[in-house]
Amino acid sequence: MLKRVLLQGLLLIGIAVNISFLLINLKPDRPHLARRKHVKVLLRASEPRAKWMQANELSEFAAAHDLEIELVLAKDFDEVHDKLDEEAKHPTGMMLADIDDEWTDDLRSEKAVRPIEDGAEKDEAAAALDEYLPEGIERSKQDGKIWFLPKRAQVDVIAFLKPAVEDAYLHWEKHRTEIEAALKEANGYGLPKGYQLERSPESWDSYDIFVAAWSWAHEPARWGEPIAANVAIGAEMPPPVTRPRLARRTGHGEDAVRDLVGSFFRHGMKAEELKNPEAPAKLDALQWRVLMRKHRLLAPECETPDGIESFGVNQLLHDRKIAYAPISQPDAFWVHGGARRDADPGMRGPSDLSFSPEPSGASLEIDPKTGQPMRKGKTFSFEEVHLWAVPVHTPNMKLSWQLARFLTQKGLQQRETEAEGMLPIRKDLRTSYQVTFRVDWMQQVLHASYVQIARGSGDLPSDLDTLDTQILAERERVLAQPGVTLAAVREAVRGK
Amino acid sequence: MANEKSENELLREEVALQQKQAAEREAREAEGETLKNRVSVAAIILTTALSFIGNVKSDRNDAVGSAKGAADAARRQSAELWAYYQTAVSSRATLEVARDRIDLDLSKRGLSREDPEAKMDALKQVEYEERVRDFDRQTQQVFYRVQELEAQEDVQQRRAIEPAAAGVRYELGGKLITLALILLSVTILSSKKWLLWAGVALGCVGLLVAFDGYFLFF
Repeated sequence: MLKRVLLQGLLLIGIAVNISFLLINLKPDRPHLARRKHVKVLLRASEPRAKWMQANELSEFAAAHDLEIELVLAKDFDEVHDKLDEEAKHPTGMMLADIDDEWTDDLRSEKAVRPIEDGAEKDEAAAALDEYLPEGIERSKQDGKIWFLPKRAQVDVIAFLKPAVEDAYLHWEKHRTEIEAALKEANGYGLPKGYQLERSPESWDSYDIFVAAWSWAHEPARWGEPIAANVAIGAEMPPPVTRPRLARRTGHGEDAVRDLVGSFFRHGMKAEELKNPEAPAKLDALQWRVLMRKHRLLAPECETPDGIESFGVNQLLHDRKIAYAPISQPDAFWVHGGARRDADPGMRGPSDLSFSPEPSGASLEIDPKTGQPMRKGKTFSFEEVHLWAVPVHTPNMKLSWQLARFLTQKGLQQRETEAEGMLPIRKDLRTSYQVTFRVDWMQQVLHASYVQIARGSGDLPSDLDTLDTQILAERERVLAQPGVTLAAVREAVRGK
Repeated sequence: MANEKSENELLREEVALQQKQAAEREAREAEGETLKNRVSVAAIILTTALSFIGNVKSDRNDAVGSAKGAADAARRQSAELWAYYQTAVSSRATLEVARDRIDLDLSKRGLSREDPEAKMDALKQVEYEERVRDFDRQTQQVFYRVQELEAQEDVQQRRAIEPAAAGVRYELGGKLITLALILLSVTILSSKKWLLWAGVALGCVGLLVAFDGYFLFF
């Protein structure tokens, strides 16, 4: 009897199986039976970037994995850190977070994140890591475990207007006497022996910057506002304006501190010297700043009491009011414009825009025997690596890993770089960027960035957070006094 | 008398034996019939399933082919547009050189664009500048289209992954079911009951693998 029931049951199952396959034939796509799970991804990104990521990257992953991904945005990495700490205490379903390399130790020690390799199959994580650049791998692997996956890199380079550099090269000699006098007041010597302005900003040092800035501040710029006015071709242009055309981030925020400390490093500073107010590299860099201020060579917007941050500098460059300024990759794409169909309109005449590594530092102080700068630094810029981290209470460890891998695959890194501007962190894109990114100006941004990394780059000093107020105060003291000699700068730094 | 009895007994025994053998034969035949019936039912179920699996596998393979085809088409189209872009960029460079030459020439002659003597040069320069601007506009549009096509190529390639994974599972499931059908055929030849169950078990595994092709659990 039992056997009979069993056999009949099997027969019924067989029929049911066939009916199921018949139905599958009608709609063979994978069914999405589960309800869409709501998860969160924490990003430090602007609204447009987040929107682009949601539309072009996350939506595809969400549809394939039955997820509903909500983006949580943070304005900076401090906020990302706070949000991750909060998530560790009160989980809300956060699956992945975008952090920068400065925060990795803190987040690990606070147990706010867990190793990303926990979501990967055995040996999968190590093999995957091999796809990224060494600086990314170095920051992702800690205590023998893969905690993070590299997301992207960022390094400041220089953006400049080519006709402005041509103008400076052609006209600076007209101002040689004044330039010599200004420098003599500061170093008792003037320009270094046999000085000539270098043709390419890629080879510029502090003297070249000063000379070019002087020339820009005293020559009308036909490449500036008249081009920005966008008059019809052949029509009469507005008259050119004469004004200082060099810009730096000079405010009191993170950007300004990075810029300032970066200039110390370009003058040869070592990280351990940062707390020393009288480190020669620091004094050299500050002496140039005070000399620039005295002769009004920095754009007036930079010399206001509140100074100016990245956004302001980018806007000035976008409006062709300045000729030379530091810039990050996303900002370079914004200033240039035209990176994607719906991008903000960029500057007028963007083909004038070019990019180079940061200049190298050279002391104002001259060795009387050689007539050359007493101390020479090299080009340098801080490299930031952004990482994908998994919050400790992720709702699905495996999906966290898969999402991080999905977002860092070659095609999407290329798309994101082209659309929003970033420095790809994948080996294949670094070796092939001149082929992969075929638009000339994008190549230039990436080329300048990779050259910068190769010639001089490094992590932010670990004690910068505690020293930034002191450094800004030193800068303010130096700029508040009229002296331009090294002795005057030293006294000001000492607080006398 | 004793011999007669013994003959009768022998006859009875023989009849009984024959009856027993006949009963055994009937039982065997009945069992064989049952086995055949069961094999037939199992084979019908598996064959029907195999046919459906074959159809759905072919559909998935078509989906892979179509996604790859779309990716290839996007790649070809973007390559063509890039070729056009490169040509336009090189023409633009030629015009820029021509424009700059006029500038250098005017500078050598100590003239500016506004001088009446340089009217022709100024006219040419304006023409070159206009064409450069047109090239910029065109190449920009081409670049956007290429961006879209490259993104499309990427998406299509990723779109092929899921049906390809399903196809592999349907293929494996189909093979297991075919093997199960072979075991069922051997069952009829050998009349071994265990072969039926082995075939059914293998068929079940095949069906499960094929179901995973649909759900993609593993």
